[in-house]
Amino acid sequence: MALLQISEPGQSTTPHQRRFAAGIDLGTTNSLVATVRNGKAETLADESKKELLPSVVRYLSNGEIQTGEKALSHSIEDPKNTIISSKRIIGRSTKELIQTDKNHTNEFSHTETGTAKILTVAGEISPIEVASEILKNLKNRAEKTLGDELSGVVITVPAYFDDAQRQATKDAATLANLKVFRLLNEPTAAAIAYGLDAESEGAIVVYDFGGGTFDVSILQLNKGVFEVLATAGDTQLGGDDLDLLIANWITKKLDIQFELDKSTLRYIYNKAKYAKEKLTQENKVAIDLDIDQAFKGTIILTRNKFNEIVEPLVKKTISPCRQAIRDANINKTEIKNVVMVGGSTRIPLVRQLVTDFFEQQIHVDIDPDKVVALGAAIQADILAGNKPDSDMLLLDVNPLSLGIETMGGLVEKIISRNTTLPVARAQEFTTFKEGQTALAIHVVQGERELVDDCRSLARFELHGIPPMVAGAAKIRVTFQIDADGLLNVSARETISGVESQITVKPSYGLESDEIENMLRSSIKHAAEDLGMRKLREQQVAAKRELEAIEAALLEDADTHLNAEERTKIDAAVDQLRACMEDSDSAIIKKAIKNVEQVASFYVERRMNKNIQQALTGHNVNDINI
Amino acid sequence: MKDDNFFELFGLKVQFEINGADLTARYRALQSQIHPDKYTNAAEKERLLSVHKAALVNEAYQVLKTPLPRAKYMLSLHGILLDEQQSTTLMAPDFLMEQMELREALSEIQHADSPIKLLDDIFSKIESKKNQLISDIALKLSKESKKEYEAAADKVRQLQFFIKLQEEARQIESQLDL
Amino acid sequence: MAITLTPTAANRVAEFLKNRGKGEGLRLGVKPSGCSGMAYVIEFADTIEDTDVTFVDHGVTVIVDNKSLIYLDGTELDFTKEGLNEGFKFNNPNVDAECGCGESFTV
Repeated sequence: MALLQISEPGQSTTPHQRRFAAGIDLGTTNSLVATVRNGKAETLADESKKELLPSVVRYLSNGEIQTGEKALSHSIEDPKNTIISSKRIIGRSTKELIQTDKNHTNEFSHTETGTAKILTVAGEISPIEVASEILKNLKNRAEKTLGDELSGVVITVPAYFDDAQRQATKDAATLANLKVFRLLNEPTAAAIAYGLDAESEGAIVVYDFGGGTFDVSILQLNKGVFEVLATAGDTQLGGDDLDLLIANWITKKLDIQFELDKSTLRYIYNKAKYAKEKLTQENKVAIDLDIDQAFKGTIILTRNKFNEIVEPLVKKTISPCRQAIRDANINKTEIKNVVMVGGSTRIPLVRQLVTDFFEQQIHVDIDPDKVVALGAAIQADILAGNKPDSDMLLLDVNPLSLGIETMGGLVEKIISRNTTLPVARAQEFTTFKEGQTALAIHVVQGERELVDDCRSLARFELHGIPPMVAGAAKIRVTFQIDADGLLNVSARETISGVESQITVKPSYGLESDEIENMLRSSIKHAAEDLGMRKLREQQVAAKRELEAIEAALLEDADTHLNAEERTKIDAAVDQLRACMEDSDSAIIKKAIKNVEQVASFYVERRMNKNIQQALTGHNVNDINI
Repeated sequence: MKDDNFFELFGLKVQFEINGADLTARYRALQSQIHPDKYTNAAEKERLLSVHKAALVNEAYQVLKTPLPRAKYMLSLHGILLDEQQSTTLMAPDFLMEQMELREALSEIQHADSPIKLLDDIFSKIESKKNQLISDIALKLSKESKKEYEAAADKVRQLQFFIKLQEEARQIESQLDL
Repeated sequence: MAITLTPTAANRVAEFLKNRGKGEGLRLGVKPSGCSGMAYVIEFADTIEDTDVTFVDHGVTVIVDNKSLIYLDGTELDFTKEGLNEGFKFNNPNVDAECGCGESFTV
């Protein structure tokens, strides 16, 4: 039998209608899941009372997939099939990996472009599939803990993640059968966890130094509104890099003359990590080593020596701090709080340098490993609708400029960095040949001026442009970035009004049929039928649609609809309700579309009313006099 | 509500003078009604519409809150479009001379003995020029005549020069930091 | 007439109220619906109405509207763990049959 949790006043739901939501911190080293129960955000533990799930997945030849501790414990004996830090490779190409991450112990497929895939005994595995295994594990844990299915989740991503990385994260959630309410930037999540407790107003710096990434964000907190003013960072700098420096120091110290194999490298690397963690509490650490043919014994690493080794890398985090302050257009003295996030902020040297730079006490009260997941859980609870009187609002920014390729491989910026989301910008294009009916657009993300220095996001092909003389067609392309930071493109020929068809070819993400294929293959293991899953998805969508429209009608149908309009909407709603239990997902889908179409004018009227209402408190007349 | 006028979207009269705090309060009130986060459980169509409206409100806010884009936007409402790649031949010679002098001073900073102080001087000079131009623009935009609008457009062009100069000075400042 | 809390339940309620930072106490009630007639209500309470009856047990204020009290009288609220899942449970002597989900019942 289900156990009950305390709701907010008036928010008790009917049985089986409760909206369980969770926040997931999908980290480079560890991942966590948290939820709000009885009004309190808490991270959830597994059966062995462990909250941190190592972000490690191991693929076996018999089709078994291990995650977490179990996978981690095999990382030395089976490095090739064990994937650690997969977050660093998600949404990246093989070429990029070879350039940025020479010390990976996995092997990748050798394609020049496209997403990197990891070669394992179970075949080529996409980093998206790896992430989805972690998500499935956490989903399972949350549902066991809450006693019911999750209605949706908030998944955190580094603020600096580009579109490809965000899309890949969302694809991973789709594969894990999770509905994503929102992708939330990690620093924003941390500020939520701190901000709501501390009731502070003013500028907040979130310094997030995790296992694989570093970023710093400056947020403005005002009456429950979180506004991200600026964000900067380095997606390829993290605690892992510190481990690597220590590992290199160990190897050098041992004076090993031959090339080490992958499992010895991993062994030394694990020792380095252990030493780093010990040194957050102690002044020196003894590292016991047993490497065949090379060394057996103990070497000592002092904190001073450690600081000396890692200081150049830690210092690399300060320049993004300076940049963020400049981008936010604030003064250092206006900063009210500095919040520390990520395991690497346990390192005393890191705390020292950050305190020195911002010239103030830093916040370390909430466990730096949990703070992001806790913030995500609070946001998930609100988005699920469990706290309707919450006035919290998150206004995130676009972390990287978005542009298109122009003549000569140059980039023309369309949406600049740090623009508040969501954002939409239209750009006009024309044809340069007579009778041209198609147009290719290359979208890139980054701050540099040459296309080659930016990240390729997608190539769009517009088809169906009516043939005209060169330069006569006017194609209006709208680039929209939603609240999750995901890009959406639509195009229209404005002279003839022809809606152009767009074929999106993501440079690194997955195409929708690829997702379907992955689903198919993962379902072989999960003993779940794809058709069943589709049907259930449509049923959930139908239920959502019905709930939404019924709530709206109950609220203000009288104000916005005349009898005839009301009858039409009611008919569509009745039709949808009648086919909800149908076994054909296509029929349900059609009925949902029908309701959407019939009610679209009503939705628009309601939205405009909301806008009017928002302004009524502001005494419009006073100002207009 | 008309989508094509940012002032009306915010329930404001079309005028250059704007109360920043009031504008921000209106912006937040609007976003707290239409932001996509308020429509997580709404129907698909409604969510898409909310993304669209929230993007529009964001754009309007960006334009209205800063003097230069606000002035340009007002001029565009009056049919005056300022070309991004404007030609310097349109500018008065003494204005161009002043610009050249400031640029020269800026280029010499890195080799100067006390660069921070020199830079501060340049910053305050730019700031006072900018403020003067902004109040000129406000005055000219308040007089509803085609001739005054054209005059305002001239001042807006000058303001663009100073803003570009300020950006360059900031870049030099950031290099000094390192 | 009385409604009681087990010491564990009282501790948890006190903790959650403290964490929430406001609230008069814990509101318990029933409302029609669910798979077998009645469903339990368990909420934080910010106000106490004229029609409410209050009890204090282990230092925790329990608020019940007088209509619900008929169905809840004699109930002991417990807090238990079942595997990973933990939460509150109504031990209600008035109950005839419970839906398997434990969230609703008939009298």
